[in-house]
Amino acid sequence: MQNTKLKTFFLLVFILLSSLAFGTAIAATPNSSPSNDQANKALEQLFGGLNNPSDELLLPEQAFNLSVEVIDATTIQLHWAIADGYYLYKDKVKVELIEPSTVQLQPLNFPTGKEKYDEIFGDTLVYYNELILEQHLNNTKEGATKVSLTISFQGCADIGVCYPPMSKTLHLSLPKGSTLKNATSANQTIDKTSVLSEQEQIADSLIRDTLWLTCLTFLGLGLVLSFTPCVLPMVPILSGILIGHGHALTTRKAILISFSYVVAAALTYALFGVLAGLFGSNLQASFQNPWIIGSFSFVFVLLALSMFGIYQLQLPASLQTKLSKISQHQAKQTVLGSAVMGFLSALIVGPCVAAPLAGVLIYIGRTGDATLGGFALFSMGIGMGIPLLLIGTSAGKLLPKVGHWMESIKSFFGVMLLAVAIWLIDRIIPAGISIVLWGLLFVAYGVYLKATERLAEGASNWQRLAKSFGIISLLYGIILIIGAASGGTNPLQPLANLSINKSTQQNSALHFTRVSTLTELDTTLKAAILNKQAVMLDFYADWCVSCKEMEAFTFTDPEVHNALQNTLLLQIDVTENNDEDRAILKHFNLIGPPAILFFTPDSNGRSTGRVIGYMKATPFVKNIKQAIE
Amino acid sequence: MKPLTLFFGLLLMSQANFPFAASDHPIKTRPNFSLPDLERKVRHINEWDGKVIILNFWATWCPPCRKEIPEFVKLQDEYRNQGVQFIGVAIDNEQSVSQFAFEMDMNYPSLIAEIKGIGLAQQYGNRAGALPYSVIIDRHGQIVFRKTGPLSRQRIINTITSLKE
Repeated sequence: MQNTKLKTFFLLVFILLSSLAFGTAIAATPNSSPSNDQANKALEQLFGGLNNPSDELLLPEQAFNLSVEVIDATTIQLHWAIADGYYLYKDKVKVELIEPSTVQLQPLNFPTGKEKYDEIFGDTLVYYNELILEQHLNNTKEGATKVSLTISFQGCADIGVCYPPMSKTLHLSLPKGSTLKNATSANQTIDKTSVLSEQEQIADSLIRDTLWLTCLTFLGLGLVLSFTPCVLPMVPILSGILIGHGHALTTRKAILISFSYVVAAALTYALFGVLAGLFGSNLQASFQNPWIIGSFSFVFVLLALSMFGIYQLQLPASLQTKLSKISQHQAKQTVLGSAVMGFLSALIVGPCVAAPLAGVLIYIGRTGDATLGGFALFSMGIGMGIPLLLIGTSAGKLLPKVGHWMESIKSFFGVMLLAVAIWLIDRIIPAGISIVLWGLLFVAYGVYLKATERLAEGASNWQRLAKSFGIISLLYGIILIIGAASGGTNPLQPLANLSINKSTQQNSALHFTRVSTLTELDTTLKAAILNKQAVMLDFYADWCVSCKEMEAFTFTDPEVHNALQNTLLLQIDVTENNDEDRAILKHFNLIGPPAILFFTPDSNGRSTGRVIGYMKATPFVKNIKQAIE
Repeated sequence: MKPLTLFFGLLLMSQANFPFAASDHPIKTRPNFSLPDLERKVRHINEWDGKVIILNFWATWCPPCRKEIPEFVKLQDEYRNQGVQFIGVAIDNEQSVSQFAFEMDMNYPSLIAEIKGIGLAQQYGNRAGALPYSVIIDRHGQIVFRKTGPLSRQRIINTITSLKE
């Protein structure tokens, strides 16, 4: 029995590792996806899906991250952190002075780059990983000086794509002839010239804002995990240390020891998280390959099966006892000792929670953020340790009883793992099919929760509640499948294609005043200035899908309504794309809808912000606030 | 205890970070646009409605873009009779494009979008704004394929063959 467990465990580890190795090996080759076109086509026709290639390329700002530091009165340091596999062209790096005329730029001294042969351009010099340049200035003026510079650069990636020339305008203040350091990050001082980067900035801040939320989520996840049988081996170990103290154990000391034990275990997980964050970012490229995505997805299905008790993942018992023996030797009744054991226990428990842990690690790997990974998994470790803290301080009085309910938690994780599996293959299968898979998952879980079974006479309240959730899950699953059949592709709005839903959404739509010519727009804008009113100008067209999405998902949001309370809402319908329409688009330097411009009473007819393309409500509200306040 | 699990489960699922939030809205219908060609004539994308369009965003300063264009020229010749139309959108100036088009004997229209063409590429689903970027549009104006980076001959042939009526 033990033997088969062992075999299964190693088999799975092998699959996981080999698929990782396979992934890195293929990461460098461009995506040449083998086609499962035949099957896709049939289903595509049925569900009206679309291949949804995931764009795992880095954004220009991530690929070439420029930061600038004022070293002293005559030196500015430019530093590009260049992502792995990306490079900058030497002859495309330029620094230009905008003002003042009292300053002159000296020629740049470039470090030796890497020679790269190009069939068209011949030998070129490029920089990988990083480029550090010192821009020396001749400053004829005494005292502190404000300088404006434009830095332009251009680069490509090894996988065979190039980024358009980028330029950043910087406003720096040079100190008096001292060596005062004045570090500025490019992100803070750069005038974001392109619309893209404006929006990227917001996206960045959103990610930062949600760090604590992510930690909270993972804390909850850890707490749920602690109700699985996996944590049970930790109980005797912790109790062991505490009992080891005998009568000398005070409650305070018990708390201290339990605490150091739990924190050490959590730190071990944090280490996993950091590694996943670092390792995962390199793995991102390989996630473009359908085979890799497919095999990962398959591994998750296997892991899910273990949660449903089809087989068990565990460290072999002999190893477990050995580790716990070592830990008892370690336990010289010190806080440090219990910390060491916390670390060891995390390893003991590791394989048991391997399945959910792997899911979490993959998620973090995808974000490629080591800090986030560390914090998230630390929170998860703490969450897992909360019951242990309780046990420790109550000296075992609060020990949970093993029972059937633990199986429910395991099967819940099984469902979560299947969800991860679907989420992974989501990007390589038509949207219609993935929504069907989601539907099936919810239906199956609903049935598992006995949604379709009659409640026994005198069933407990818990059983009734479970059945209610089961029915909800079942219904949602059915709705998803119906939605898929009607061509819906969004699991959160599966019925968006059905007309009943549309008419209700329009009730809370924004009400725009239509303008159609440039002169009309001009008069309206001037009137708004007199009224001291901000203006939002929306470019709309019937054929513009993103405009419709904005209308249906963003403009209906109460927060958007709130933010636009005192704003004059104008809309230009450019469906016909006639001369008037083109003149207006050209006037604002736009290619076409979807585009939204903002004006404030004192912006003199110049837009103070713009949103191009579809944007969700929360970032949109941020954009509104930035533009009109 | 089971309902407690479910409560946590629903709580977790409602967190925007978990798998459910993964689906963004794929753009399916091609956005409209018009741009000048090398004769400075304004061409509207709906001019080619009813054809299978391979829309290629490129630039002369982008080596991988330049590299794949001879193959496009060949394919344009081979598939012209079957209603397949290549269209280049150059994130570049007229002078460079005109020179390159002459050297390469480009047999399909090059539209000049300059740097603002990146915005158009984004409307067509190019998140990172990198080049080359190609989309294939079927006869009904639906985007059926998107690819950042070089597009292989085989991939194009597979896709256009699957779209044949």
